[in-house]
Amino acid sequence: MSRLSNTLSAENAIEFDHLSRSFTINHEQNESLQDWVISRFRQKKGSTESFFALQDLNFNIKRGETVGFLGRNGAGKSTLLKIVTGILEPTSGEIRRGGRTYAMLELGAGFHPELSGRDNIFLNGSIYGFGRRAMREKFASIVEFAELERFIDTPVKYYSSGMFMRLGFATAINMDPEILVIDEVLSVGDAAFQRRCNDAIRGLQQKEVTILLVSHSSEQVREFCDRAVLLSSGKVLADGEVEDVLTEYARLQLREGTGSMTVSGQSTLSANGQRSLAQFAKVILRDRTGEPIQQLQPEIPFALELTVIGDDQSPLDVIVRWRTTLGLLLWEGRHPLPPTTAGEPRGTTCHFPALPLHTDDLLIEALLHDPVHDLIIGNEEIHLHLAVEPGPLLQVDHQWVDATPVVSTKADSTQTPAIMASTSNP
Amino acid sequence: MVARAQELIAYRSLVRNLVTKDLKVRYKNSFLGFLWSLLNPLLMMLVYTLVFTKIFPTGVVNFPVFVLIGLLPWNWCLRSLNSAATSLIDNRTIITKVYFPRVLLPISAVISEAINFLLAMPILFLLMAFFGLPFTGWIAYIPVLIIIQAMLLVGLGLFLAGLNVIFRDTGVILEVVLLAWFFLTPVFYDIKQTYPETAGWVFRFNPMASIIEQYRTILYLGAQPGFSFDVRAGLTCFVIMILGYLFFISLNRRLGEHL
Repeated sequence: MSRLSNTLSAENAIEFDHLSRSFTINHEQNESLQDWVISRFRQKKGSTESFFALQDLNFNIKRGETVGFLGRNGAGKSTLLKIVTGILEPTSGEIRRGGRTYAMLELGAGFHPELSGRDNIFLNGSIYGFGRRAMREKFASIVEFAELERFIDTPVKYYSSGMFMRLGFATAINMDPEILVIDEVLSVGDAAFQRRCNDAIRGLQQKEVTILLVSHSSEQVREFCDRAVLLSSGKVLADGEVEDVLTEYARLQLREGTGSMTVSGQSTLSANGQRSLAQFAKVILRDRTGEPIQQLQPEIPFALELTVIGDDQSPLDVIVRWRTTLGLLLWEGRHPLPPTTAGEPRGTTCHFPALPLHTDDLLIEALLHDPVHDLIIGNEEIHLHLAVEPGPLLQVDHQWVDATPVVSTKADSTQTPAIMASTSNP
Repeated sequence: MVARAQELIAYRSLVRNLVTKDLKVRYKNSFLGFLWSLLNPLLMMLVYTLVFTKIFPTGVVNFPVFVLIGLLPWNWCLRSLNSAATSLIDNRTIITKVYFPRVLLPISAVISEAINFLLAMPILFLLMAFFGLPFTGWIAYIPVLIIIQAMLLVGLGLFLAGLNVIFRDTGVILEVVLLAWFFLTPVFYDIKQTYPETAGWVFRFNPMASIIEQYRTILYLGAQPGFSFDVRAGLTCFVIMILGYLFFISLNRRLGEHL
């Protein structure tokens, strides 16, 4: 599973030493015997070319560090993770790992549909090298975490996809990894389960587990990572503080013009006629003291800071929308961005008082709007978990007027659904 | 090499779980379940008996026992190689997502077929008793034959599993090769009786022929097996196992990529 190397320095969990990995793009991959025979008879057999998925990587990851890997599709993130887990071997150079490495590349990979949840837990455990006795000790906590007590002896083919994912996550998280590799799997289950996943990850962080996280969500990287690495075409483009690397990532997307944040890919013309693309560089939620936050408490004011780069002059609006996770539009606000001097980012901050909402899940959407062409040219989403007890969605100031003596109260709306206010007037 | 061996030992529970998975899944939705492991060779024996005593009589006495002794090890061979050959491709989803020693997949395929083989042995013993064949102390020698055959199958299984990743037509070719091999192996005929002059060559080049001949010596004739025979077959099979393993290991680096 993991090769303990004598040259690995004590403070590092992983060392990449001039590591490269190339793949052959086989235009005549000898998948079948026919291809192979043909390739023998052909005069020139030169149509194989190799490309480097990773080129000369040279960095270390410290013990207990959580590192986020960013990069566009094809930047080499997945290859990197597969090399860390031992699924792929480097073409040249070396990787040195200290500790048991576990991968969450795809939840429930290796589950057999015909087998029960119980059998699958044991099978999966043994794929990770755990014996029966060790798995028996972990079994209870896995089942409890996955909340599948009642269905544990049901074949997993009858599980809903959510149940399947929960079992996969619960199994993976309980494998006592020393190095954990996570590829885009942190968004499973409902909000409550996600929260527990996040708590579990934080628990591992406290236990000094080294975590490598690939995510397209800058929010997740901000939330969990101590450090971020930006990959592009198999090379390290930036490595360091999360915020800096995220900014660099936004710039990269901007330069390459097809950023995932751009909805329409339309460019706007700036005042000097030069073609440029406006883009969100930062969409950050802050509390009253200006600290970035991920969780909102109801009743506590907060602010949304928006920074746009790539276009300093042309008229641009930012639109902020609140949606439920089901997509229902709750609120929308619009504000023109002030122009700045050339090359400077443009920014604005929207301050909100206490949230009049009583939901445990909220999407905040920031859109960049070009009023001249009426185009949405950028969009970022923040998925918020609110620490509230379940209850009616809206808190509305309202008034009760009884038939006899008139008394006005500002009632506690948590006990009164919003609709009642308008329909139950006598 | 030592590190690899230690790794395999550390993963022994994976072998057990893969084998139980195989056995559980195989008969999951069938009505008779594991009884098929017993019924299948019995029914095949009936078919061969009908063909080779009524349609093409061979003149072998106690033919049902004779053919079943050949069929059981042959079926173990046939099924192991078929499932070992596809074991990597069938488990592609795990291989590309989790690291574990991949040699365990073809090895588990051979082991789970070995269990089916062992489960069917009592049926053979019942049939022997029914036909009044002698039970001798040489039966205790059978585990040696099983180990020799297991080495052969693991070696070939590893070779086929690796080959199938590079050439996906391995499966198609394998079908024909196995059919030819079946006819060249004295499963339903007695080679010493039908082709006495070529028998020696067949035993030298076809380990399965030697192995089946040994099973027959012990169970059908109740006689002492030829030890030199086994030393030779054992050595051949051991070499095949090592070669298969080395071939597989040499492909290991390409597995994650080709699958």
